[in-house]
Amino acid sequence: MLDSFEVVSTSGVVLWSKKYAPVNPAVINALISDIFIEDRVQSGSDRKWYKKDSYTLKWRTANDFGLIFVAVYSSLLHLTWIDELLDTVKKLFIALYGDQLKKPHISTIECHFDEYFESRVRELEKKAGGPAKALVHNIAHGKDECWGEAPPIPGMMRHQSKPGTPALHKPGSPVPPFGLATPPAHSRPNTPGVLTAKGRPTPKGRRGGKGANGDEGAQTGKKKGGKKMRKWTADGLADEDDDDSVLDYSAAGRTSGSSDDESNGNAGKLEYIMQEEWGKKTSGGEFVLKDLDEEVNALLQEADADDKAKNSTDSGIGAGAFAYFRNIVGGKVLTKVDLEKPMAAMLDHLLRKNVAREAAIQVCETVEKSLVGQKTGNFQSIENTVKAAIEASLLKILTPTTSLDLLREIQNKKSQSRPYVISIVGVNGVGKSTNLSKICFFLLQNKFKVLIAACDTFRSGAVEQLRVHARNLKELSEREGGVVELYEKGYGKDAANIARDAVNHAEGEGFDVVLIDTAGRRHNDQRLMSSLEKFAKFAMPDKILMVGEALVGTDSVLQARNFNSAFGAGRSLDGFIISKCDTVGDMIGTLISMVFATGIPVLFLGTGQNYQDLRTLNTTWAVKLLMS
Amino acid sequence: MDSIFSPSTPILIVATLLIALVPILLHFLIFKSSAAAASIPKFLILGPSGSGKTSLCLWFEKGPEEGAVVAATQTSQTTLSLECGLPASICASCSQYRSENDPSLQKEVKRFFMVDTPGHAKLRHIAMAELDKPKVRGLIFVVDSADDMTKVAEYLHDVLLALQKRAGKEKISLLIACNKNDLFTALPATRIKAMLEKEITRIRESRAKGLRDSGVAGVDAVDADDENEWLGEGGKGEFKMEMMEEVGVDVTFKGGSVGKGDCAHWRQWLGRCL
Repeated sequence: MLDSFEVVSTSGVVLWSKKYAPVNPAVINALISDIFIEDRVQSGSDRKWYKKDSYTLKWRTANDFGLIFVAVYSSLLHLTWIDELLDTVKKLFIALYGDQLKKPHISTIECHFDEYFESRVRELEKKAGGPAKALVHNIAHGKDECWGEAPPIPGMMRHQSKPGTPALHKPGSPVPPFGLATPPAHSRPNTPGVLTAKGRPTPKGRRGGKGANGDEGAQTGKKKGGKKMRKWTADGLADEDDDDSVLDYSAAGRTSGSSDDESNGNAGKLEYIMQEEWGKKTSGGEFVLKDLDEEVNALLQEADADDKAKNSTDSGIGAGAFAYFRNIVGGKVLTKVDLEKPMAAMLDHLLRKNVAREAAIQVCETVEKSLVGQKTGNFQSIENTVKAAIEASLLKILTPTTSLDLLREIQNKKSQSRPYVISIVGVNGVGKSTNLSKICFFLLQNKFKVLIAACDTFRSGAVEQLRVHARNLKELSEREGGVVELYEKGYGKDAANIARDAVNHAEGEGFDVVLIDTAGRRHNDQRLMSSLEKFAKFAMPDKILMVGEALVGTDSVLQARNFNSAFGAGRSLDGFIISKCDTVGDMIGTLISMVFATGIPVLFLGTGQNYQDLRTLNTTWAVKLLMS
Repeated sequence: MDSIFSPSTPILIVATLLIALVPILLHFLIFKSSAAAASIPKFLILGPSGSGKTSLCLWFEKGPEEGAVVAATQTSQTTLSLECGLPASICASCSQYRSENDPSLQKEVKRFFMVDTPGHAKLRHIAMAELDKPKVRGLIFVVDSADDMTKVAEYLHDVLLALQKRAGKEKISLLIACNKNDLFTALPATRIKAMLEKEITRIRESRAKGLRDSGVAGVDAVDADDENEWLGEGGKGEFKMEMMEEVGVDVTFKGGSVGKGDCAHWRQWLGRCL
């Protein structure tokens, strides 16, 4: 069964929600931040679903209105109709409340969507078969209570000419006592009786008059769609006048009967009236709902027809000229066809900047999805809109979500006895040792005591290389006040053990930071990669940094991904160092590929051959280079 | 040839109409949206994700209604701009010399725009871009009173630095709204102020010592840049919020809770700004 359904605006306001079971709001928050903001795709989901704490979430977006429709249900269930529900609810919601949503400077809208939603769920469940039983029972149960409080139904319904839609509470008309037989409205959302109770403007609506007016406007629009409904109003009595008479009648019934009998008596009479007037069989409580279903179907058909009409007008010749004009002036609603060409150009551009094909395609796809249905700004061509969107998307990818202030973190850790441990991993020959010594130089300038652990026990010359670095750094930092030492145990030993010993040694000697150099390994070699898990367990690094070359192309995505998953469950990379950035000019696409593949930020850029050629990433600079 | 130069009435009419209407249409096309919003002051709501920015924004919109229920919120992705009104019971500073019994004062509701910004770390550039826009009368930086201040401080540092860089322009007020102070683990506003100041002191020190970023071009730019990136007065020592007054930023700390409807302090602050 569905647990929860929410309509959320992109600005974060829940416009409408329906909860069948308590769902932690953090679940939907996680969906928004993971899928929509950080663009993390869960493996195998193909952007169709998202799993979080035993829930599965599916969603639809309406870019033109800035809406997200989210359905939450338990992962244990396999609900086949969720997609259809989302599609139809999206259409319905927009058909009903589109006018209200278009207004600027509004936060909430007046919506009484519950009944429409219920009717859709019921229909789809019926189609799927099975779980509808509980609901049907609910309806039957609700029927009696419906009769109990029935008096307002004919009156208000005729007044509004449809059941369950937001009825305006007329101050003049007598309102029969709802309280008599009505349990609290929210206790059983499925009963038709509640429909009217909910129809009154809720205290939520701040802009009482304004909102209601808008609502009425929306309704008049709807009436055109729901023609079948009018039939029954018309063939009964003259419509506008008799709502008074019926209300009078109900009032008379109230005065005649005693308080307890009255509801029953009323119910009997009312059933009679309803059958007569509506001319529909009362098989269960469904007849009220049937009307609603018809209206819903009419609305959906209308929405479909609108879509088709839009498509057909777009293809005309005259429309072509108009579209061209629109392209110059702006205010054009973007469609998939419009975006095809500029998107292909953008993809080419990104590929030329050395962004891995996989990453480039995904960036373009998400941007395209977010643009379809949006309007271009004044005097903005499609190309410019696409370019701006790609730019924003790249900026979003490169912006880190956590603090990258290494100095502050080390400073915070200083009070504890354990040193701050940084280990550096990467493919062969990308510059692990070089970047390690650059970081070491930077730390020494800030007067830290640094221990370098030589854990590359595999490649001949690796320890000697670090020894040279350590000697140079020692000389350079003598005046600055930093202390650096090398911890080495020769070749052939287990790297994880050496790393652990080095950390213990540093703890005893009072070092602030331990930098661990590891052997380079091919990312698709299982045997070499598997030793990293043990390494992470033994050395327990505070930061695991991966060095990646800016020169690498398509392989970057796989490199980042494999290294990220090599440290076992619960441990991943903490940052990238992109080396050799000075050798590629403006083709720094590797940055995008690696960050996009893993969501892990770039900590440093290597920009030269000297110790001080280490930089932090300036995202605006990078995006500018990528878009140039 | 003759037919081109000889005047004909329909063509004349069409031409006149075109000449008259095209500028008018263009005017409406361009200025329609901006004209209405121009005269009303604007307040920005910033702060980390999950601190209650959108709820606060909605609360201000509900405004005068007591006990109004604020809609539920989720993580924001875009800005939310709402037109809000200050109830007559709060005296705006611009009308402080008017008599309390002035009937026109009772009716008049101060209008302003409240702009909510997304707090997710990846979307903070949106808030920073909003900061640079004109007509911003004040900022509300919302903090979750029970949150870890080390993370909050970083964002606040960036905001203050951005404000410092725009110094010399109009004066701006900053309210640090310590939200959710009804929680058991919530800290009082004064304590939050002390913690944030301490944290910002450390941040600006580590920023000054940190590596240069890749955007800096030459060696010449570096020195000038360093001065710009230092928040508050030069020299060593603690950072104090009062230092910001020098650059035209007036910082106020007030506690409250949107969830409990306890926003009186914040509303009074708004009144003082208007």
